[in-house]
Amino acid sequence: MIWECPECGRRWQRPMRRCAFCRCPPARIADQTWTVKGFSEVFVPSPGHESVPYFVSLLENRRGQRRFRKTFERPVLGQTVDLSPESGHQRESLVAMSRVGYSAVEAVGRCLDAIGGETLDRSTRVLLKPNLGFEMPASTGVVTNPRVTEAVIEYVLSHGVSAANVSVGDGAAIGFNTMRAASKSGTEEVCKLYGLRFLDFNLSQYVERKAQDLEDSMIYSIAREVFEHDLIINLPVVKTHFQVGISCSLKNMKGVVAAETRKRMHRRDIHMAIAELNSILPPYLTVADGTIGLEGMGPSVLGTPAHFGVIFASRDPVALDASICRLFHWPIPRYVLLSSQMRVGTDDASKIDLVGEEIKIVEGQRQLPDKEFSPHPSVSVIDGAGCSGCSNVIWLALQDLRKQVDCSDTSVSVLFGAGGADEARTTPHPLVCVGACALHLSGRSVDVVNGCPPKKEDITGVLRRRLDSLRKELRATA
Amino acid sequence: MFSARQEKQVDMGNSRLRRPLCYVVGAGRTRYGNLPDTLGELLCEAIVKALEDASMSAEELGAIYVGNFLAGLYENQLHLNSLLWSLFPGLKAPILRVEAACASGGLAVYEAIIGLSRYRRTLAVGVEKMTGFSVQRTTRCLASAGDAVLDQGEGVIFPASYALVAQQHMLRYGTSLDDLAAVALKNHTNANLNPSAHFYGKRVSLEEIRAAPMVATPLRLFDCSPISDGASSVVLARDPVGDRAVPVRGSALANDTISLSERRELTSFQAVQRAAAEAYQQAGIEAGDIDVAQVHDCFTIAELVEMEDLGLCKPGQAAELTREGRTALTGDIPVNTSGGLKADGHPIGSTGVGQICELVTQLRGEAGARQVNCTLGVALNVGGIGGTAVVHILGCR
Repeated sequence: MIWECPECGRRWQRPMRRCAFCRCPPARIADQTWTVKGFSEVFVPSPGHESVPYFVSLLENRRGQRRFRKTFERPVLGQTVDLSPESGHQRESLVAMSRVGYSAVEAVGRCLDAIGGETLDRSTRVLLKPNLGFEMPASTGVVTNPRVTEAVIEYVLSHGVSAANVSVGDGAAIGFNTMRAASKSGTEEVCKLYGLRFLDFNLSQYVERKAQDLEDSMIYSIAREVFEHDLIINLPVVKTHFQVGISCSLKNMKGVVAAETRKRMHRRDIHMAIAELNSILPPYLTVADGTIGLEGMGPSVLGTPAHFGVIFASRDPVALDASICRLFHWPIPRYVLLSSQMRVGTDDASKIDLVGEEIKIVEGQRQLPDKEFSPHPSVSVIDGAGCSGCSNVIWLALQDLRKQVDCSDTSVSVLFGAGGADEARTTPHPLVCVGACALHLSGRSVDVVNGCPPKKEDITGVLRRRLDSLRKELRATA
Repeated sequence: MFSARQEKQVDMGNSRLRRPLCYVVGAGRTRYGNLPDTLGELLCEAIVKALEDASMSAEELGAIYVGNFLAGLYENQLHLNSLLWSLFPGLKAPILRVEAACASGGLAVYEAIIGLSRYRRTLAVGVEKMTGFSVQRTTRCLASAGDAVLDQGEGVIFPASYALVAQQHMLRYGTSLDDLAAVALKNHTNANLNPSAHFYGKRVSLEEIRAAPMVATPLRLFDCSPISDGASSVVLARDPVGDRAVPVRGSALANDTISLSERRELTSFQAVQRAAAEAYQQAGIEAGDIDVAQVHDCFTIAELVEMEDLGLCKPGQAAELTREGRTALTGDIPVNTSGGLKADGHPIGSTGVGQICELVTQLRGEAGARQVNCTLGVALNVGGIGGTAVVHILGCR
């Protein structure tokens, strides 16, 4: 992508809102056809470029503008390179990917052009569904980058869709406020800039649906607006999830259901529920935000921001999630496999065309969540399949507790969620049940923190008191 | 002995020469190489040597400018101006740290000269501690002088950037791998006459240079400057102090885009051309008046490109000059008499100041076995792939 001032003709390879000389907004020029002007084969590894040798080509377009491109395939001097991913595909599903560089607009455009085929006009009603689960800025990798949302908005509007027909919506995780999440992430500002309607799915009217093919399917309360649009574009963040492995395309659609449904999804079997939900929803296409995502203990505060620098797009959410897992060496979660069985899409690598970048350029080992992890060494956490309403508050409470209470040889177990009865029975430590879902296990527990979601201060207070009393007992025994 | 070319040029130069901007009254440097010294020890040694050379005490300095690039990235050691005060406690002179990637040293000198508008005497010091880290980490740290997205994101490390320049130079002017090898051999030969050089005492043959491992095609290991520790320092004064003061006649800095991919021209550095033109104008000289040059040969191709950009020869002719031996110590335009970055070493923050030290040594006639006949010299310090160029003209007392 090149930014060019229409007044003075100056050009930049980086985003410029206004020309510093003329103060005009620069025009954006995206060229897909380039010629190899020069190249070098690099034999020295460096962080991010560990695999050698690789090639760096200096490409030049017909305007004389240049850019670099890394490949593992040997370039040929003078060769013409078309950077637009091939739009046709031979296999059942197609996943497009594009490295982002300085322009999300270019990367999103390349990916959407590649998966192509959508007929858009002024009257097409489009719903964009970013991840606004938590009240956090996009730099944390927890929520969708508003630059990516903006790039998709620009793409849709540039294809003739009226801004009046474009909506952006999500429902924040339990315990969080969707509007505050939209504001904190920068999504609200983008909506205002383009005059788009923002929808809080936590305040929607709901339509009840169940999976037709499954006798024991639970009933899902889905925001009415989901069924009132012609095209849904899912905009998840590529991130790890300590409960289900990863959170991307399939998991992000959980944001369209009522809070009560989300709780029931966790109680039922979160993997099965995500698959069921996706089998009920109207078809959607996904633009996955891999600009900044999470690795490690995602999907929220404990995750490690990871600059993947890639945008993915597909009409097949199963293929997209499975492909990302393969690229980042993550095990494919059970809900992805179940979704494949329910014919939401395919996880079969032999049936997926992955286009746009050399796989070797994008792939790499990324950190997985540690199931045993706890932010406080004296507190072990038992995940009884609770939802993020509890888990997020518990993580924050344990981080605070770490600052307040010295680590010692005393131990407490914290249980959240409706499950985990076996672990609750066998844990050798005093048990603290947190959240409304865990209350039915409180008979054996020493302490209870009620609430849906529970308050962070209540959890910290109960745990601090419990650890202090244990320490006193220990001293008295000694 | 002056060559006919030099005598003629100096005569012409003297008639046009403008009043000096200031004087270098003291110069000192450490050895370059894989040294056991800490950053502080290197700084201290270079400064004390420069002050001794100037017969001056630290209290007489009006301001100090520290050039450094990598201490923050390598050792998490920033705030070098305060670190320096810890080495010289009680100093009243303000201390400033400056950074412009590989041109940090040159920038320190440039700033120290500007500082003379306020203070009578200033000191510029450049320092770098680069050894003791993995190749991967070093490559990554050095790559920070390029654009984080356009260059680093695409794996365009510095050897690759200069490799692309070399390839374009070869395609355009017919420069050959043998020409690059000739630059390396000449600079290693010079370094063998410089006891402070990183590769002092290392004999290198042309065969060894040609057979070295590939780094980024077409550049091999001997086309690249080494990873060195070192520091150097100069004391500058408004007036000539003592009889060994060397006039500074030009001091200019110019910039260009950070990424090579943003440039129109691939076989020359516009920033070097602009800085050189300004420095020559300040001095009242032309490129042809120069009779010794210290250029920024971080890679062998850089020496050829920069000779052309400085106007020491026409575009595409630097290789021929090198092949004919005219850039050797015995030639009519000796280039990189110390061994250059290639063989003297490239402790990044120090390099630009070290080039001035070498010019001062040559212009005073104190260079010993590597002494060349010269009265007017140029030093070119380059940051990144020509994103910053600092040119200084010294000489003609």
